Amino acid sequence: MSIKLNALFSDSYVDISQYRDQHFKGNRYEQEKLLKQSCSLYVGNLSFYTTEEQVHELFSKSGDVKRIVIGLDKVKKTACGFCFVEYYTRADAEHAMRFINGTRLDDRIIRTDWDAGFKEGRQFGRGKSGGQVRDEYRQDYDPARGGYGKLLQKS
Amino acid sequence: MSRRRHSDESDAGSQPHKRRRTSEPIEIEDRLESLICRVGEKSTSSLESNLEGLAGVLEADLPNYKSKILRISCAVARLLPEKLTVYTTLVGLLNARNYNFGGEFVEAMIRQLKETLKSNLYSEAVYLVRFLSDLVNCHVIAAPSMVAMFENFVSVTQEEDIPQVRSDWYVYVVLSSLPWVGKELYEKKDVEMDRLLNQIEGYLKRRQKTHVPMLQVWTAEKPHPQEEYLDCLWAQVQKLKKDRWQERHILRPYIAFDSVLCEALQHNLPPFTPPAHSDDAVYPMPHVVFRMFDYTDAPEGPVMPGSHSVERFVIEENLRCIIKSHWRERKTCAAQLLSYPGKNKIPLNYHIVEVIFGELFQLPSPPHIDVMYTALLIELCKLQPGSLPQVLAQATEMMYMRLDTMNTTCIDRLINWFSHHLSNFQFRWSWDDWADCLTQDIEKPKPKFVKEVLDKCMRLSYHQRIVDIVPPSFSALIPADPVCSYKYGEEADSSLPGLAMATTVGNAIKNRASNEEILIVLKDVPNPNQDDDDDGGDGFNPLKIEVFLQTLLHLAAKSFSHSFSALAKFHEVLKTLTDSDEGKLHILRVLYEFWRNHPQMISVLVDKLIRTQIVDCAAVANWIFSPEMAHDFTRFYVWEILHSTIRKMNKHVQKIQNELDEAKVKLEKQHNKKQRDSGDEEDMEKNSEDEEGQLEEQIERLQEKVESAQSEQKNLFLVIFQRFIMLLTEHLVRCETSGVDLNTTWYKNGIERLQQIFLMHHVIIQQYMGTLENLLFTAELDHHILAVYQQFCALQL
Repeated sequence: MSIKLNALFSDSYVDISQYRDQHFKGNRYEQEKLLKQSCSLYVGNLSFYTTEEQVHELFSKSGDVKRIVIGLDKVKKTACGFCFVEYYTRADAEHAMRFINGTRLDDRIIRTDWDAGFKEGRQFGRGKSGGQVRDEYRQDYDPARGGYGKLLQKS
Repeated sequence: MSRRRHSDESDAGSQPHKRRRTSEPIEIEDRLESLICRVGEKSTSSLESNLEGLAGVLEADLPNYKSKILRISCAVARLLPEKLTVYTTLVGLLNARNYNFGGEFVEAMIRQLKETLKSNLYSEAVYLVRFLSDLVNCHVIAAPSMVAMFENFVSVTQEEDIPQVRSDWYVYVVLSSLPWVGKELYEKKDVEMDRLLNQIEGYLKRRQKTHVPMLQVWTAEKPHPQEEYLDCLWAQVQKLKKDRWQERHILRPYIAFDSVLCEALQHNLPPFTPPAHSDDAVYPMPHVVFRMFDYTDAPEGPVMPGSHSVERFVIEENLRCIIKSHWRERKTCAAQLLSYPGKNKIPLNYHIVEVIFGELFQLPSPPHIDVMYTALLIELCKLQPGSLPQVLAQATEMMYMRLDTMNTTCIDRLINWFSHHLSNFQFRWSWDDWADCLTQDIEKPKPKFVKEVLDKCMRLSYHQRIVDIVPPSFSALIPADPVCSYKYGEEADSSLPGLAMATTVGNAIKNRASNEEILIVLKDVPNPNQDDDDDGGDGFNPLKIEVFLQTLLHLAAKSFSHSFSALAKFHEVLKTLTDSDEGKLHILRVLYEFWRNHPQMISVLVDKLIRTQIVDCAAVANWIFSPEMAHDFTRFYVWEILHSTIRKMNKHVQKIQNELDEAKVKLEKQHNKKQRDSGDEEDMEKNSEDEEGQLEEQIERLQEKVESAQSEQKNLFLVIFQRFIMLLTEHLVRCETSGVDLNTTWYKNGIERLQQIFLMHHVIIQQYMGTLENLLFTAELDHHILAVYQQFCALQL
């Protein structure tokens, strides 16, 4: 029929971000291709105490959840504030990006981003102390994420 | 798709991917699109001067870019109905400067209208007709020819053997254009218009309204009647007529240009015959107008237009159009809603809240996914923190007060919305205001609502949090601590059958026994149905299932992932134990017994059991209707499980159907290729024949798969409807024989849950109407139950 008026009906919440996984096996182009067709989301800024059940309840609001992988501290093997949520369809994941990203879970504003797909090993934090990188260097006190940043704690 | 931002015309060079400002045709076309799309948005200049400027630019571009400008203009007419009058003014100005453009535009619009009608895009067709009618106000279209088009539309009501929804739509499109053009048409052709309205009135009086009860959010007439949409619109048009078509809400930029526009030559619409009815036409379903506020609810400030004022209609239409345009981007959507033109003359927050809830509660289903509305309301609260949260609280309070007459499906959505909303605001709420529910029977709508809300709130947080947020007086409504109930634990009675075996099995699992080893261990479990068991211990053994599953679930109780892993690891054992229908039913029973305090866990495990084909959908349906589940029959989670089960079934059928369609397309491509290649070497022909043969075999297999899946789907609905009928009839008969009023809380829930099955899966169910009518919904059925079926049928008649 007629044109779609691209200028107007943008869908920016669904766009891929600037983040690229440095450990991804493949080149940038391949990673971006996967991100653009992915049904998997990375979810960040979780409290260490947020449970799989809570994640499941919230993310089920945008569609049937296929799998949740809770992110773990590499050393302690305890939750360290992130997870992956995988949907059966891309459309459901897109709804999560539009309506769940930037809202609260367990009283914290969580952030979702496209993920190229879960691979064994990606469930572990990549910070030197075992948790997430962001918890190595931050200066603030966050009781839900182990208190002060790791560097600050050591000093 | 990247978003290009243009704050005003001078911004054209700022797109990151464009290197320099050029006069390349593609870039000029993009610029034209942007200019046209953005006119009317916030600007330092007035709307009139922007329109004037744009008209000048477009006129100059007409010689080279006419077809592009035509296409963009048609597109904004179809896709930006909330800016209708801005664009009709623009077209009016262009027509005044270039008569031919006006003529070509009208022709293009008519072509577009035909296409939308053919493609079942009825809401867009409404916008197109409204646009055409407003062009009468801009002196682009001659009034008499518009009246003639309306006359052709209304004559559809004289057609025979058509679905009512067809004639409904043609009447609707005429009535809904009158707020814009009624005055002008009456001034020019009052006799014809009176005749038209009389015809419409006659039609409205004789049309069926069986569908109305099924679509009402509240069954009560007070405080606001939930009117059928055509009845409401008719009342609004009548009032407008009585006010001599004086309409003051719609923004009409063309008035400022009247001196220019009235010099323009008008075009006549070509005679337009509505396309004939065909079997694949899918007309919009009727709906009921949602009203929750009136002028008494907004305490100060501008007054809310009455329910039968045409302003109310226009405001609601425009707000819905804004949501339709921007639902994907909640911040933009909220901003657009809050910058509604003319907002200072109306209590905008109330209108927005009413429209949003109206959509959320729309039956059969909301126009957009439920969670969108939650996110949108949160954004609106952020943008208007001093006023919107109060309106929202007022609305919530109102809805709580009216729970007794609210449709169960709508209560479900309210529960989901409210709990999710609260979880974004630290669960702060004045629960004490709702203390009245504490003195009522816990099955009554108000306490039930609070209980279900707290259930959902707990799922998004944790048990102690809920205990902390409600006053102690609410303790009866607090959900149970979601812990498991292991029957073979330390407190178990030593004489409990299977107790010792449970320990054995538990140890085996902890020692990483394989599926075969577990099955061997389980062979020693006696069968309480010993008499019936004559196939050597491999038949249905409920004790085996209990011992194994209780123990397994207990070991895996830590989290969802643990439980999923456990089910996956011992899939073979579970499959073997549940080979029969009784086995499948029993595994669900055992699951329920173990996790009865954790409905969320029950839901996710049932989902997994279906997906791993340990139980089938019919087993879940039978389980839900079984006597053991009677206690939880009115609980929300049970229906979530049932609807999720039906959806899985539907998706399964759809998936195989898609595979079949793909294979058929492939085969056709193969045929075409063969025709092209015929005459080539023998080898190639033989290869393609082989491929074709394989494809044909595959298609045959898939065809069988589809038929088998559809049969399973039909059977699922039959089971569900059959069980409903049995249960409800039992209640009705009992009440009749003992002279008791049948309208108990339980019955209201039951009959509305039946309704809900129809509403939530109406597209699929429509395929099986014949079977349903022949087998189940016959004339012998109690009329209370039959009425639900008849109301459903009326939705597409």
